[in-house]
Amino acid sequence: MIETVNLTKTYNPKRTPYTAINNVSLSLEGGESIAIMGKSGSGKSTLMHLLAGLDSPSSGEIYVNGTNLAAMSNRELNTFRNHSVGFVFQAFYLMPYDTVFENVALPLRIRKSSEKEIETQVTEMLESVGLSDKRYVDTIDLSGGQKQRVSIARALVTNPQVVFADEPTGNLDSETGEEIENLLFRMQKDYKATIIVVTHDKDLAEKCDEIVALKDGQVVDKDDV
Amino acid sequence: MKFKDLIKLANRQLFNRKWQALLPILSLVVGATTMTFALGAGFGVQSLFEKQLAAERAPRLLEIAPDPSSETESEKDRSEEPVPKYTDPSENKQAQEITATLEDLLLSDTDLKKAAKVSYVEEVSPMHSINMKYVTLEGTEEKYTPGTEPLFDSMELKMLAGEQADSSGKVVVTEAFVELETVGSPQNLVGKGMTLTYINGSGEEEQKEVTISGVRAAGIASTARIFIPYDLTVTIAKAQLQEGESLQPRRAAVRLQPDLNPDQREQVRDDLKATGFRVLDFAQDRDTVQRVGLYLTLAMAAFAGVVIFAALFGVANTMSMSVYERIRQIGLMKALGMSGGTVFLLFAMEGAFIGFWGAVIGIGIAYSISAFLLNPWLAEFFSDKGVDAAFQFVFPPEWILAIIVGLMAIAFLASTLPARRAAKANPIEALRYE
Repeated sequence: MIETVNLTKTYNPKRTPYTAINNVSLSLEGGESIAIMGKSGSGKSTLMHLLAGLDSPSSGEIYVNGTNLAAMSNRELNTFRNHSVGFVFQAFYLMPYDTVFENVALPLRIRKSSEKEIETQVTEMLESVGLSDKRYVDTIDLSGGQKQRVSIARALVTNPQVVFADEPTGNLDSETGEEIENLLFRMQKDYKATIIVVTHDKDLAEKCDEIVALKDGQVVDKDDV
Repeated sequence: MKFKDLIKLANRQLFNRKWQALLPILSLVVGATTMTFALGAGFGVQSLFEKQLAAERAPRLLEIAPDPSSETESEKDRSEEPVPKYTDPSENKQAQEITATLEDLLLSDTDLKKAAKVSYVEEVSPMHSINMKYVTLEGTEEKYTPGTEPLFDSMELKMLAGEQADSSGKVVVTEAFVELETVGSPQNLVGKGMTLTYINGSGEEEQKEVTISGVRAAGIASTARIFIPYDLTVTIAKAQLQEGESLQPRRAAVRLQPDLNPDQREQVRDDLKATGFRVLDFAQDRDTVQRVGLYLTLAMAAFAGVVIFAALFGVANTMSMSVYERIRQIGLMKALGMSGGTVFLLFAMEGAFIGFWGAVIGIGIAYSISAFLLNPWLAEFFSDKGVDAAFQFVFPPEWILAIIVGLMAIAFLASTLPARRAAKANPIEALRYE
């Protein structure tokens, strides 16, 4: 359950103020797939950063399962992101010279999981995304679709409440893109996570249970985008 | 992140960028090699003297002799006229001068008392030169003429076998005796009888039977010598006196108070010199050579320090590039919940590993060159010169470890600025896709 109350984010408040998110109040169900849709510059990325605890709002509140992110310290935000959030990026952002296994294990290593836990969880996750045979391959040697599978595995290995997918198919051809979309939705159901897809792609947005359309930092009707 | 994982990741990161890290590693290698050689030479000099000292440890003993040069100089000065005056050759002044000079070479009772009054001096024993005709070993007819030296209680000889002589009836011989065909091993010498033969005051041969109580290990030089207890040397010297002669020592052994530091020893030497003695002191040679060794070591270490200092800029630069190249990864790790402190450590440790590899490779090079080339060559060089204890490069493991830890520590410090930039990176900025 994600809720925002009068959420506002203004960049450069002193010199050239630019309001990326303007008084947004939202209430999103947990366990669903939600699309944040909007054109470039609509504020959809800013909204995602705020919801993920990567950025702090200028005013307003964000509640993720009842806890207010705006009131959290840096350290608490680090823990929150590590335990409750997963990320899938358009450009993958993998450690290119590390193996598939190490890439998926990274969030678990950051949270100091035991070697045994890491072994079982990563193995299970690699099986789910169909990369068991690539376990010891450096990610630089993988294809785009395989790379995105690795990042999906990395996003879900911590069993997060929310997974943010920022244009997850933007760097892939349409066929591979569809594969990744299907994998993403399947994983969301299997792991009962909330998935928030940030996209400008209306087709992808429409596959989600719910759509939040943004224009100039405000929520609008999805047909206006 | 667990520290173990952090170390692994830092090392992996460095390994992935090994070609970029190669330059600062190479410059650190030069520094570490020089530093290791400096240490090896310094400890080599020290261990050389420890070997000699262990063979003949008498830091509490000094030897003094009158210093005729200063004495005659001053007398001459006093008698100097602006224009030399004529003197009658029949006065035979030259002969008088020679006698006077000879007398100057002897230590009088007053001289000995003066020496005893110098601070930190415990006892002054006049040393008498004894004139050994030859010595024979029990069981052989062969006559030998080894050197003789008085043996004082305060000496601590490093024994190869047996023990130090404790009474007049016993002597200690040096390792050279072991090489005699009839001996074989040091143990065989212990307990063996020895006959000392000398000419007494009436011109007749006189003999003294002694027992070898022990064999002294060879020091830097391994000449054949017999250490005769001081009392026995006095007895023999007295026996060698001719009618009407009295003991005329030319040198004396000065025993110092125990546990003096080098500065106090230096003061005693200076005081003795000021009182008009020449000071012969093994410990002084050691102090001097050790100081020269120390300066050499310091000079090399200073050079190494400059090289390492310059290399640190390379480390800082490489780490700056590393942070710049990995800004996306830093953003990702922070997005995944890695704290700024951990990111800092990750990059600072990567820098520390540059120091680690620089140190390990540098030490490896210096050690290999010393162990496989220089030390064998030096050993041969010195043994050709007839010196038993050759100068060798010595590398104490704790100092080798100190070089590694030290280089890691300063490379860590050199990386702190780039690492701080990494720690402060904003994940959103870092991950912005362009």
